[in-house]
Amino acid sequence: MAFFKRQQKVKFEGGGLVLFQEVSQAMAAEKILKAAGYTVRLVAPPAELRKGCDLAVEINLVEQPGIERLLKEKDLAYVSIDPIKIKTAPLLDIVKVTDFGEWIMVKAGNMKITYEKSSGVIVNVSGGGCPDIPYLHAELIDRRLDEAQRPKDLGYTLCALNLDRAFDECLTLHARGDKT
Amino acid sequence: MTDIKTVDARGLSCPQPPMLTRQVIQKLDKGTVEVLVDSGTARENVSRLAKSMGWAVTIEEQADGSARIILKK
Amino acid sequence: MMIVAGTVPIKDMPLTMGTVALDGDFLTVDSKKIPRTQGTGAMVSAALATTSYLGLEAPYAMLVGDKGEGKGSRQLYQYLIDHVAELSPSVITLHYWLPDMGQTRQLCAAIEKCEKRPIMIADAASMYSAKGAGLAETFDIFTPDATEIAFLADPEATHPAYIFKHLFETDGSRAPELAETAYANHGAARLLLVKGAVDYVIKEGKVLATINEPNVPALEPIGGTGDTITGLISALTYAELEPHEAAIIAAKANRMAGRYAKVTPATRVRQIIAQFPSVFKDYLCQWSDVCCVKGAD
Repeated sequence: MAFFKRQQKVKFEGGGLVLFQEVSQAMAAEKILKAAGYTVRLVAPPAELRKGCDLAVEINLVEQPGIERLLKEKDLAYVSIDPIKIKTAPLLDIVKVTDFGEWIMVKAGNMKITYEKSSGVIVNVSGGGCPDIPYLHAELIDRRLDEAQRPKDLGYTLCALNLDRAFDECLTLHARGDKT
Repeated sequence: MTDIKTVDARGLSCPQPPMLTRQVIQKLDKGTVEVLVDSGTARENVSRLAKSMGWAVTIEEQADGSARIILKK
Repeated sequence: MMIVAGTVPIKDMPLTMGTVALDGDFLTVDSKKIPRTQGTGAMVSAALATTSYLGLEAPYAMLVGDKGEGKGSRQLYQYLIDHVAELSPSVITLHYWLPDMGQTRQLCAAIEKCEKRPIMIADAASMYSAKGAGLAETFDIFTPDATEIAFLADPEATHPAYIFKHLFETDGSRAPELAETAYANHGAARLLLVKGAVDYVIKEGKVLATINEPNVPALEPIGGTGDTITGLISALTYAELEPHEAAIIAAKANRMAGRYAKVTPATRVRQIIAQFPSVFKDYLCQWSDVCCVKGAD
């Protein structure tokens, strides 16, 4: 019966570590992140990942950009945010540009932004799978590149980070006359 | 008495009637299946599909204009 | 019952569930209006267009507002964990949400308690967390794009932002090779529909079909055209097509709808969704390979 169903404790599988120089920073970060609603926990970083002190904060890696933004807002210094799996690749930084005549599409990782050359207006955002992407789609389309907010300032996830990389490239391209 | 498997495809648009029929007769391999349809197109497609898969087809017209297609193998 | 679950970018929308209906430019679920835009809205719209055409029961949507903070996602996961066994759907499609490997693991365990195992379909971040949790093989269908197939092939990546460069590609030409690697690394569902300039239907590592017609390059920049494929394949599976048949028809229908809508890179996905009934009327019989007489009545 539902009344007697024991709530099973979900084992947290974050996949990401925030590394600090000082134990006090790690503890302060854990408090700040929990207060903001993030699921995090204090852990000892594996020896091969340790860059500072013996305490790190395990996070859901996909939430890296939102967490970085929050820590910066709160002026809390950290060394780096890394995947726990040490064999993980570095953050992908490959950008591809496709010229569609009146429009340019920039792809960075799994994210794409398309804008109209003549006006600099963003006409489409595609790709990804994290919940901030439909939100960013609504916020960005029909806005000019130079008026739109940066995806990394509005989004929370690694998808938003990739979108921001694409956005950055769009700004550069448009500033130099859309020459691909 | 032989078990009769029923496929009720009334109200369904093409290609649903032959698709559902195919699924059932593929699994059964032999036996008796009745398929209920309410359009001439569905009647035609189910009959042709079943025949192409080696099933004998008999059509019984119903009073309400629908049809009961009996498939036997 | 077909369950479609995911987040929508509506601030503070609580967990909302019910049979989906159409209301002009919006979907309605439990009297809440959901825009038919990029993301789970587009996916559910495409599924509804398909079930409506085929005369099937409309999808049962489970949606929650979440613009990336994760709270809504966690509620949705938890609700599914607690109730999926009693709901016992025949198809369950998991879509946009904040990926959480621990909760994904719990959800897959809960789904195993269903009386009859449903067809399990995942796309978007649900696919990311399934793969990241090592549960990809539990799923019947994934619908990755060219970047996401590289992510599935990379045994260490838990998100497409962290793929090894040598695996990453942008044009999809290596999809068959990457799919084979994904299967070997246990990072793929039983069936993959890899979306790209050429769509590949790949079952257990082997290419079953390639679809490249009609060729509509402008589909790629349009937000939501991957989501519509997921909706189509979900509904066609619910209509009891075999997964590979559903995948082939979904790929063809999506492209043809793009042609019918005369898309440009500035087209919005709802304009493509609006073409599905016409595409089905003109092509579904032919593509399903069971009709000799085209449906007119």
